[in-house]
Amino acid sequence: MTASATMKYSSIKRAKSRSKAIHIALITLSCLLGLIFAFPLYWLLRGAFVSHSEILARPPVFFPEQLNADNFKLGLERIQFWRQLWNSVSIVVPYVIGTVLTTSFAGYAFAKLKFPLRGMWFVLVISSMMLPSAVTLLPQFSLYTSLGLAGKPALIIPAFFCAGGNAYFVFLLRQFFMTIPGELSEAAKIDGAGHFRIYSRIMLPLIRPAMIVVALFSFINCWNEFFYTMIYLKTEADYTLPMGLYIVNGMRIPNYEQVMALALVVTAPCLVFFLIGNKYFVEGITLTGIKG
Amino acid sequence: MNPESKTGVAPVYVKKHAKGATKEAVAGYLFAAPAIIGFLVLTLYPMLASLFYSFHKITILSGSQVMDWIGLDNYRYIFNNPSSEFKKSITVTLIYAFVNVALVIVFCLIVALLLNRKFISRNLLRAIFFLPSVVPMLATTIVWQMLLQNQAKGGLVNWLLLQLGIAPVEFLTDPIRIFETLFIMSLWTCGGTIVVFIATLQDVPGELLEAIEMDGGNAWHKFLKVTYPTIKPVLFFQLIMCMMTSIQIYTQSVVLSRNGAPDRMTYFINVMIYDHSFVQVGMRGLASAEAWIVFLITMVITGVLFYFQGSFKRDDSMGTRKRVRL
Repeated sequence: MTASATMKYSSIKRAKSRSKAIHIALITLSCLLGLIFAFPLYWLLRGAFVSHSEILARPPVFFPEQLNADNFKLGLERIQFWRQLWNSVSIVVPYVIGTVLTTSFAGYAFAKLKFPLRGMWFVLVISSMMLPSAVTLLPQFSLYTSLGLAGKPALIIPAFFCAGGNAYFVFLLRQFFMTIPGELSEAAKIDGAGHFRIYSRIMLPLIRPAMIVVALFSFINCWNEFFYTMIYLKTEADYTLPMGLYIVNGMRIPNYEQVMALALVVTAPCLVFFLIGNKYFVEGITLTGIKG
Repeated sequence: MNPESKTGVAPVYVKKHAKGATKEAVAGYLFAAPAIIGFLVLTLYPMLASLFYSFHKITILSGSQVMDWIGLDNYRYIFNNPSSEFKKSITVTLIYAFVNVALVIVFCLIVALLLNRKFISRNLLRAIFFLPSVVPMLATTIVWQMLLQNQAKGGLVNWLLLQLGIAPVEFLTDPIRIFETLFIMSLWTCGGTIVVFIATLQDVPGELLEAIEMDGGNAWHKFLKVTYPTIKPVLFFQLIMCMMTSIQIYTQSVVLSRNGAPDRMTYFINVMIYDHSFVQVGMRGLASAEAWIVFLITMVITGVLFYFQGSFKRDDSMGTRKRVRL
């Protein structure tokens, strides 16, 4: 009796110490993986600040002797920087506004308002995110061309119609609206509030965190957009910043450090928004199982 | 007027209710209008129009499109003409997509399970894994190009391999190795999926895991009987979305080379359709036919995935329940 008890005790103890060893090994593994993941970002940072002689030096220079800000100056001179920055901003800002407005409208309608064929429209709108973009490409292009909108407007307009991948956000916001109890809007209805008032005064304040998520993701999606900008922006004066970077990279210039500096400039807004919105990113993904 | 208006109190209520319902229906359509119009004008119409385009030869004469009906000629060209680029393009795209989806899903699941353990700096690590996914794909490709290129041109990875006494690898110019480059970049930017999986793992019932441990089950049993059934719906959703983005790979290819080098192995579907639509002249009808074939293929793939999700789900949930009662 006692013998078997001690045996059992020692086997549990052994099992425990073994699982602790596994635990530590796995944590070490995750940390190593994390280092590998962080390294390319460090390499980008390093590349933007090293001098020309250091960037391809053998053995590699891991820490530049001095931070070289000239790379940025020379890199930016290779593109029409201010012009292209303005192009990017003037596309991103209305894009984000349009996305936040119309996806929250649609999310509200599909979650809270009863109207005929609601289920059908919802499925159709959502299914558009499973569509390969190539199948709508040419007719869209002809449509925009015939309306004289085949340029910047063609990149902004989809945001105002929940198109171009924004069906994601309709789904996300609908999930959020569904979590708001119906009693709230019922009470407001009895007080004589219309549907728009309920949406703007009661619903919006409640789903603010979700709206921030949508704004952040749509900023990053739009800033990083490349396929459609290649199609609709034709001259260098119309290019966005990523396209400016693409052209400079395509020239295969020997000054990698300048390309890296430009790449860092293009990446910086995304990193800044990530650092600001980190909490919301994780929260948004967590709540929906959807990423931007 | 109203059939119910014979009873005393009801009419007022019914009428008011009906009015409220109509008002709500109108409001519903108004709120959903952008999405519905967007679907009709920017998705449904272009889809049908491109099917229509695909039966034409489209040429551009003084700025306007001229369309000549040629029936199924575009499709015949795609399948029968040896100079058609479609077959190679769809083959490399599908190979890339399938392998990439498998790699991404398995990798993200492993990392999520690792980061699901409790330890200090776990949140920092999660942030590190997520960070690369917000970097523009363009910048990602440029950095990895820098890391992976020939060591004579300054590739760090190849320099490291050389130091370790391993033969350097032509990541960017070898027609097979180029896929390794694409997979590496894809794994580096899959942080969003990792976060989704971590979030979903919170729903895995701890009691069930303990019950299996009591039964003498190992980690693999726990995963198969409890974790996997719980995360399965999300897993399949991620799988389908990953498949869609993989099939539409574009940026990586054009940044690495403009013509699908090496040996057209990165001449993916979207790169080809872009070329046929906007670079080469008179191939827009062909491009539309190609796009429609891709569309049908993706429908089949997603259909099969949905089918598997549905049929597997039932078996598994039953299996778990039995197991738990033991």
